Amino acid sequence: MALTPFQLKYLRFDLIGLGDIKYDDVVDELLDHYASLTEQKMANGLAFEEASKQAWADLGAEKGVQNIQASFVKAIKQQIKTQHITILKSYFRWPTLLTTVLVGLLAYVVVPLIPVKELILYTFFISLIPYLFILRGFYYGFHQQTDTGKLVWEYMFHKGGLAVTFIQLGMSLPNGFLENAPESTRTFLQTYPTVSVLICLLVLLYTASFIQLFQHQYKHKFV
Amino acid sequence: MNTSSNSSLLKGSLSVMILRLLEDREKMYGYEITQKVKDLTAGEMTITEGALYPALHKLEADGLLTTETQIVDGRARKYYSLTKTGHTEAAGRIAELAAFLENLNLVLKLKPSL
Repeated sequence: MALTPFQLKYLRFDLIGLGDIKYDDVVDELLDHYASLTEQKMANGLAFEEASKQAWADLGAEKGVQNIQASFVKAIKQQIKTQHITILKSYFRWPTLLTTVLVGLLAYVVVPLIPVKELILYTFFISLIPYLFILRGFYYGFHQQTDTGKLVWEYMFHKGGLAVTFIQLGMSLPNGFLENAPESTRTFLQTYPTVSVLICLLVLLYTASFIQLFQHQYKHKFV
Repeated sequence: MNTSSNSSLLKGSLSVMILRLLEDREKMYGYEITQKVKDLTAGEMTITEGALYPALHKLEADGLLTTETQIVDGRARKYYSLTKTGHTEAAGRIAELAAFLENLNLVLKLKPSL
């Protein structure tokens, strides 16, 4: 005998309210198990309240479901890490490398043609992109999402240190073109504009790896 | 399994049991796996949810299982099935465990030396 929507809502409340299950994917998986156990006990003659009580104990009650959630989080984090490494590795295949070199060459040719003030402005905006992405992640990751996307954002924050370093480096680069910059810095950046272009590209690539990672679905695949 | 000693015996072989069950069936969901084990062993062996789901999640993270969800009786049901790597790995792990059990049996059936 299938449970009614009201009974399912009751069980869902146990998982979220008593079990403190935060992720929709875990709630859905455990709700099905909890409901199946309850239905089995009801088929043996128990009333819904008693059946669900026993089923909750079978699931291990609060501690049991929280342990299951912890295992889920651990497994998803492992998947995210593996996926991110795969994405980063994919950037080092020869077609991507060739494209990057060509873009770099194009930038090398175009950059000296751009007036210095505009170049500073462009570099500033390019180095802001990862920051905007991180801010968006902060908003969605910590305040809105209850699905596994939140874990991707959390991973991004942990691994974002490198991105922030790149950002700071990218932000400080334009200073090299300013009047009061040390002569040696100005000479270095004007002699090797490729360095600044390369750093900008690395910032964008690293950010792109997170965007690609976030697009990968770690939630239910409905069929 | 019911007792704590049985539970520690089961720990190492649970993932192999899951892989074996999924080798037989195209896809299974968590509750179905627990019931199948219970039926196959006539109730002698029960897998707790606290052991089953971490094992399923680990196998999925290792890329041996894939999942899909269907709506059944008004709720989402997550089905697990073997990936291509899972099929290969299952065969290897099952053979490994079978060989281990065979050797273990030889030791357990050791006759007292005269």
